[in-house]
Amino acid sequence: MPRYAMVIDLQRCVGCGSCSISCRSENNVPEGIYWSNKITETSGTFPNVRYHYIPTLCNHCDNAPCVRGCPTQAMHKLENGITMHDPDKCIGCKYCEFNCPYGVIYFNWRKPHPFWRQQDALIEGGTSSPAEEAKKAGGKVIPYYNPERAETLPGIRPKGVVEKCTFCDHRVKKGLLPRCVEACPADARIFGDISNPNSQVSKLLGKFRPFRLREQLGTDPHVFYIRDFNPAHYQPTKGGV
Amino acid sequence: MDKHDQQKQGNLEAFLHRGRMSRRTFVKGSIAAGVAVGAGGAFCPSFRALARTGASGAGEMGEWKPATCQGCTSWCSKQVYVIDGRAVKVRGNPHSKVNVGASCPRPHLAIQQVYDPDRIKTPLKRTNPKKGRDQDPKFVPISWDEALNTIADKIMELRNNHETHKYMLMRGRYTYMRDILYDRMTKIIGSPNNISHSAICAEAEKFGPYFTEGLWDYRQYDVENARYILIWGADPLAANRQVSYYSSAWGTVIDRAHVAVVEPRLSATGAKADVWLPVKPGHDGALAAAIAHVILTEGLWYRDFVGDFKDGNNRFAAGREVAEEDFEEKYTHGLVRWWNLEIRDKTPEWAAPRTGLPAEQIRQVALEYGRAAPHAISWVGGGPVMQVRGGYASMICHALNGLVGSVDNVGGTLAPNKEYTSHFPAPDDFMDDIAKEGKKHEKIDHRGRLEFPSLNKGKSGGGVVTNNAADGILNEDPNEIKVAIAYMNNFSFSAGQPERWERALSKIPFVVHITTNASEFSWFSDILLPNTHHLFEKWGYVKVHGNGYRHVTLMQPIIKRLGDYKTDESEFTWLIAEKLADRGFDNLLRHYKTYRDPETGKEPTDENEFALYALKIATHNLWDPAKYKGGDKFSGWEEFSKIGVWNSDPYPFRKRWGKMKTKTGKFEFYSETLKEALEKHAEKHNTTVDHVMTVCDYQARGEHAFIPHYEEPWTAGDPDEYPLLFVDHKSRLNREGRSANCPWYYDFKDLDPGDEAWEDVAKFNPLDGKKLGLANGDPIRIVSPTGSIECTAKLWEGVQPGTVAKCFGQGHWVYGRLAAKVFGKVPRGGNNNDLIPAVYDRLSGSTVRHAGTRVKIEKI
Amino acid sequence: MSRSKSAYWIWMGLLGVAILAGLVAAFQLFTKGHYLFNANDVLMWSLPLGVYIYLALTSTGLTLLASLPLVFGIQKYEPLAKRLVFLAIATLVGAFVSIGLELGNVWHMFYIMLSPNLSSPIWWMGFIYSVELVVLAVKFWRLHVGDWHSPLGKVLGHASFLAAIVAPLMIGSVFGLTESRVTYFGPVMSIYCLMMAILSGAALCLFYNLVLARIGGSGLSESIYAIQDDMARIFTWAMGLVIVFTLVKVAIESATVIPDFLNYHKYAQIFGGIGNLNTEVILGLLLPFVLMAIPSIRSTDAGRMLASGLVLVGTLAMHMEILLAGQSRPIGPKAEQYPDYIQYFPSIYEWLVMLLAVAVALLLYTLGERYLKLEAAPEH
Repeated sequence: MPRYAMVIDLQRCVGCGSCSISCRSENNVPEGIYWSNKITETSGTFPNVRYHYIPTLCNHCDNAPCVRGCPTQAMHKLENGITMHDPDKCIGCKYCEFNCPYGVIYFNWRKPHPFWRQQDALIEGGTSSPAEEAKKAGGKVIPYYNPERAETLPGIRPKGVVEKCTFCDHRVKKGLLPRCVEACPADARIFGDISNPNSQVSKLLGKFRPFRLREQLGTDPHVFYIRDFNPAHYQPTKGGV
Repeated sequence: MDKHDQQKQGNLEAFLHRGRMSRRTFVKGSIAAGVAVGAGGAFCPSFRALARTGASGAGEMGEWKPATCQGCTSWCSKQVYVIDGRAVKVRGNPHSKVNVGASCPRPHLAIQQVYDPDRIKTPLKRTNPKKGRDQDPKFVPISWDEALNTIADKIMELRNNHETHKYMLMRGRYTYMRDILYDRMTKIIGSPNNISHSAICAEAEKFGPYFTEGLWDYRQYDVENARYILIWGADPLAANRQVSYYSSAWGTVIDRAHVAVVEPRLSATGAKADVWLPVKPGHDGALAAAIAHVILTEGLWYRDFVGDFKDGNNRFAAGREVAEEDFEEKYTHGLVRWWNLEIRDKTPEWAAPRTGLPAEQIRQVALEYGRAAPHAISWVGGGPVMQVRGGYASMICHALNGLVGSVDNVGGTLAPNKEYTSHFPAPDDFMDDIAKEGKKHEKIDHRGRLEFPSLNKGKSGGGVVTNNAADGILNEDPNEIKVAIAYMNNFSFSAGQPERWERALSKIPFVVHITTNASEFSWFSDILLPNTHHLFEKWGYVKVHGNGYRHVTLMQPIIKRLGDYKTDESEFTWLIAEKLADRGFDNLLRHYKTYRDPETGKEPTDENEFALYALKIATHNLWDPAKYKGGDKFSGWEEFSKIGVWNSDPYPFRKRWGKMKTKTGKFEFYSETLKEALEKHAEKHNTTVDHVMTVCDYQARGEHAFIPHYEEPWTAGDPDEYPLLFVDHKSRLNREGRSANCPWYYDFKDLDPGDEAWEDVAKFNPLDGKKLGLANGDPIRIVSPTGSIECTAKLWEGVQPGTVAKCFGQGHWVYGRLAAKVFGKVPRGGNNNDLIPAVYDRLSGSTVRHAGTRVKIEKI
Repeated sequence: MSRSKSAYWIWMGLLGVAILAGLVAAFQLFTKGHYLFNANDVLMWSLPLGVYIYLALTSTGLTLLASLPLVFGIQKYEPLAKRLVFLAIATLVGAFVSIGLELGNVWHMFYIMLSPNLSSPIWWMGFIYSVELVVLAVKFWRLHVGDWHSPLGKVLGHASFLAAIVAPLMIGSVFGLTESRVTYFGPVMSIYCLMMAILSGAALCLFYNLVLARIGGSGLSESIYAIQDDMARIFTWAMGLVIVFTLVKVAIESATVIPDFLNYHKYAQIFGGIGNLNTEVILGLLLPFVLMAIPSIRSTDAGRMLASGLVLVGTLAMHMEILLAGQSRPIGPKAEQYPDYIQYFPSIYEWLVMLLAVAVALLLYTLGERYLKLEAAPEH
């Protein structure tokens, strides 16, 4: 049985956000919810300033606090290591969201995609209403609805339940890469089976010293970061007293 | 019922097994994947290969169809995942050697664009005769027939009155099908007034390369072989050009090359560079001059390209004049004269106070740049050049490439590769006397006048002066405009001092706007025609270069059109031609009928056939094996349209050395080409080059006018009243200003370093913020001598003190429900162009965007 | 008696209006969604959850007090027993109303039974409180039919006592098991909840009996009056306990340099405060303690009512403070889209949920007093 993990090469990452935006279209994620997100930091004082970017997503931890705390096992682990959610069992207590050390879980506070449920057209007879547009396109709620998401999870999660990244389990089980991995123009996200020593992820984890977010909490996350966003060169110096 | 409902039924089963996939189903899936791709050892590489083939994998519901993205002018080749005629997602086309299957974040927003409910679905007619910012046009839907009839009548009116020169065609975002509408139709009707948007894009960028190496075009850069990349006001990881390719390569590039970014604010590329050089806006030329000085005094120029002193002794020293005969040039011209006239006293110490950078840092950068020769790129972007005296900044920044021999070289700056698309049939046989007469009139933008040399490719008046057309219209100089058709442009938003365009459009009695959304330009139009979306709904093509290749990539109608859209350049033109023929003027239709299908020889009979045949004609040499000239080979149109993109042959390095399109054939540090162009322009107006320089507001006199040199920037606003310099920059999510109605634009706006989601922020250095008493989130008004906008304040260290940096793109007051705060009334955020005056780099005709104005801040 | 009769109907009318308003709000919540709360993806547990904790713990406190006669056989307190058990049930029902309207999808609750997760503190909390409710109900029925000392009765009493010890520890461990939030992690929250349970339970018991005495007209029965002094003493000791614990907690949190605590401390004064002591601690804990420490005030009804009333409000405020303070800063990537510190004030729907929960409890109290002979005590 594979155990999936992801390695993110910060040197290759350019901070473009294609991962986060393409995830929206793959998983029909509503506005305000970020299955794929980022942590940015501007450090230093002008002109010695640096801007850093770390892509984030669910870490699919081995000791996932969200799984441990979910009262109905709606949040559960798959055998391949993916932390998966079952909205049918979810009571919407939001404990997983409360418990998650990485801020990657979001709750559907309203019927999702309120933009696409609006009924008004701006120019009468000339433009559409969002609801009409979605219907004409033939999509479910949203015109660009991706039905493939619905193979393992409701295509659009209902209000009252949480949602988060699932490592595109619906793609992975068909032998496809998660969408963010495919969409990254910089090949900065590398996915694979960490239990296989010949996989690319295993090789990279041997080649570089990786770090993980909040490792000291013992969650054993399976998203690893290697190298640095800006490996700038500088003139060798011994400093001074 | 969809698969999830089936899943629900099995739920009892599922949760008793804790919702896990059964081993069996998973293993089956992985075996299928392995078989589909072929064994290869490790499980994971098969993932990669499958993702890259472009074929649909096992269990995919839809199909990946080829397409092209015009979110910026990277013009990448893409694929769209289509399920039952519906677009679901986008990715890069793996067949392109230019964007190599990569895709920047922009195209994902195109999905929200194409299904934008606020798109115009049907032609609209204005019923409120008054035009103004506060005048609701009161558009009513009309049929295409009525719209076309009205337009045809207006054109015929001009024809019948022999006033065809009062017809104007404004072009915004085009494909290379553009000549059908922009050129042929305008000429056959008989007007000189086809006005493109190029001058508000980046024409000044091309000025430097043309008058040094004979290339009036954008460049591509061989970054993967470079050892030093010096970037001037370009942000390739976020904005033009070939963002997808550079994003894919940058991780490797920074392993091998040092990168220095010259930019007033910290950009996305600056965040992944070795050095950020926050130059004082407008003084890039000083930095370039100092770098040139160091390269020459330190003897770092590339001798294989430039040549050397005959006795090998370097005589370049600060302040010292050098004898031209002491130096033997190889593929360059005028090096020593340039040194004597300009470079010899431009030391780093001289440059430091002007640029705001420490002299030691300037020297260090210059040394590292020079030592990396010839794999040292000087990358000229829009920043230093789209300024009042930007043409010369373009020259001197680009000239550094000449010094280090990176021109046309491995790891250097390259021209576009050869491609073999064809022109459409010529219009001459279809231009009657009325048309020929009409075309003789002067163009409405005044290009070529004394004050607008606009020396595109060295020709006086060779390039458009887009923003000045508004003044031409307002002053009826040289004549009034009575009928205007405009497509995919929005000059009353996208050019400096846009309120002039509002008045100009109000003046034109009949304006047609072919557009996807009702924009600021549409608000002053009389008829709106719903346009197709380039990525999904029409036939067309563009060509672009990058990564050492040029690709020609197709646009194809791959989804169901949800509205009554018709393509601007091809379908609309055919339909108008039919209507004109109905009215007795059939020249245009007869011309279009000569666009026969290269495969069958058939004449087009309707607009859809016309569009397709035109495309096949233009790309004939690419897909027809009988016409093969180079690059990718296809078995025919079918294969070509399935792959969606043609790639050129690899780049022929150094083939242009000594054969450049300059007067001397060499890389000109003393530009004989520019000298000839300026003298011809002066002669045309019976005056001297010095007088031209005075009228066009350049500082150069005498021979300085012909060399790359530093000019002090011209900026509007008295520094006492307007203490901060306004820095405009671009967004990695702008789809040329058309993504402002996409929810994802706002959800992800903070992907631009320093910006905030759902806000339009003006960024201040915290020191300035303190002085002005600003805190994050404060609503402010920014005021310049020509206008004012309202937005939100943000304090950020990536901003140079003394400047305020704001991203372009927001500030729409129409366009859509998200783009505007209140549609038709209140803008969301502020439009930078409202602050920038309508000034120009007159030698290139370019509109000014940068270092254009100073501003002051008011708290609201 | 017509004055009390009309007062009764006015009271019922008020409760009816409150419940009606609450039901309207509930309907909106079920149809439109919980965005009607001012909670968000950073500060996700707000007033309704705080009210649930408060009412559940108060119910537990009442159960613990009821255990004094029912488990530990202190006959002196037997006259209180039946009332306390009923109050515990009614308060717990109110708590369930509040949490039921806070959950995103309460209809899936049956999965708690069908798909339990024994490693989840929320599961244990839900399980034990549900067991508690059932046990209390059965116990009440036994008491109602006069069964005070049968073996079944004893078992029920012991079971509910055990549950009443464990349940607040479970509520605490919901917070105690979040490694993500340093300010909650550890055993502190469990112990704190248990002590707060005793405190608010004692406060409610005292306050309730005093109110009953006022409106009863004829006053409380002799036996109950005799117990009030003891209840007042228990109440005072409970306050003392919580004060000591709170002071230690404040001292440790002020001394540490762990950033989360510095932040926590900086933002943990939602209702303001003096120095390191929050307003609700001063007014809702220290002041009543001082009042009850002064013998002349402790012995008066007015003094007792004031003190217990302050504590009733104060304990809710203290729970809310801790709940909100620990959620005020966004975690990780959520800091990108949210401000550094979340300002929060309950929306009208949250107030209505609280109103509904409290009104339901009050309605049950009223009906219970009227029809269920809560004064019943065993014969001796």
